[in-house]
Amino acid sequence: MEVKRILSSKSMKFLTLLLTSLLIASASAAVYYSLSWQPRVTVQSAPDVGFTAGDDTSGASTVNSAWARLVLKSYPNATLTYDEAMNISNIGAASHQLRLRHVSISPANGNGAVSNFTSIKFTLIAKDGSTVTTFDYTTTGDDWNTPTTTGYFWIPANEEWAVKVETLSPATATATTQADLTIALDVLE
Amino acid sequence: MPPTILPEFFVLLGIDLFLLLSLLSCLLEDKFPKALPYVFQVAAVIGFGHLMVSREFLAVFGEYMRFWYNFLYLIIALVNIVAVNVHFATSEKTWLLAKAWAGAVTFPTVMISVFFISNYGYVAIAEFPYLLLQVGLVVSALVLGVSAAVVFLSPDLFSKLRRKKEVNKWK
Repeated sequence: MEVKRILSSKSMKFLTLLLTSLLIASASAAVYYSLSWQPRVTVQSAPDVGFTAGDDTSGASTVNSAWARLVLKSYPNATLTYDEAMNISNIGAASHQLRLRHVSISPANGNGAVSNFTSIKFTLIAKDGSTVTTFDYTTTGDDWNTPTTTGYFWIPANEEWAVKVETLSPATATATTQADLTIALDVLE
Repeated sequence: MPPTILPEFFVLLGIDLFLLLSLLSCLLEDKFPKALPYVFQVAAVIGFGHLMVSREFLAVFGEYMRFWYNFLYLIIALVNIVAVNVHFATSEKTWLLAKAWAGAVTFPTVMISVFFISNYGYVAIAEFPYLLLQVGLVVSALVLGVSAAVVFLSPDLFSKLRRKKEVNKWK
């Protein structure tokens, strides 16, 4: 009778519930922990979205699926347009989201060589000819005005977008001055 | 960018909320049916089973689907917390307890959930959690404003309303 009274007391019930709660919480946390540490990396044949050479890709340029180095020119006081400097292709069966992100540029801000450029403009053009986004580098004196990271854009499956580039230098630009830009193309799976 | 928290985190949070409810309902056993703490424990065990099943089918279900069925479990846990709060608020002689429950349990748990959901949404680039965060902030501001108004401007407002309701009931 006494044992029954103790077992049915509030403190005993609470203690039982507390112990089972600790057990459930620990077991659940352990399962979650095992979930968060189950990486499996499988090498794929090639990324769905990659670079391909365009009609205006110069011979000195290198275009691979995962990276591309474009060698472009800029003329003083004349806009040079590469309608299809290269392409971005989605060869996969699913659409993907992509964006453009500025990484680095040289010469750095404050360097007098920067003033040899007026603008270097990149435009993503969809298959139907519409502009997806622009990504413009301009200068103010010896400083670059770098573009902000674009939003994400959906590239449909089996579609190719053109990268149009327009370059312009001021009339006083010195020949052979070079600018090196690094732009990242972020693609979401 | 991979999310820093997995969608299953919401089930883990829901399990903890059910366990909290179980312990609190045991402490306040005279206000609830006697079986309620055990019902909440069973709900927590169901969440554990949910987590186990989710682990087995991790590769089959996409991130989107995983988010929604895990999120649903968390919502059920939160609905139970709010329901207990409503139960206190509508029962006689438990108005003070309802206020304490709202401040100590309902509001913090809802805010913690909103925080994690918005954090998950931000990393997973989902659109709706931004809205959820905004709604959460608006609700927080409203609760804070109403609470401040009631406490500082008219402390006996609810007492008056309750008395009026009781008078109407007897008419």
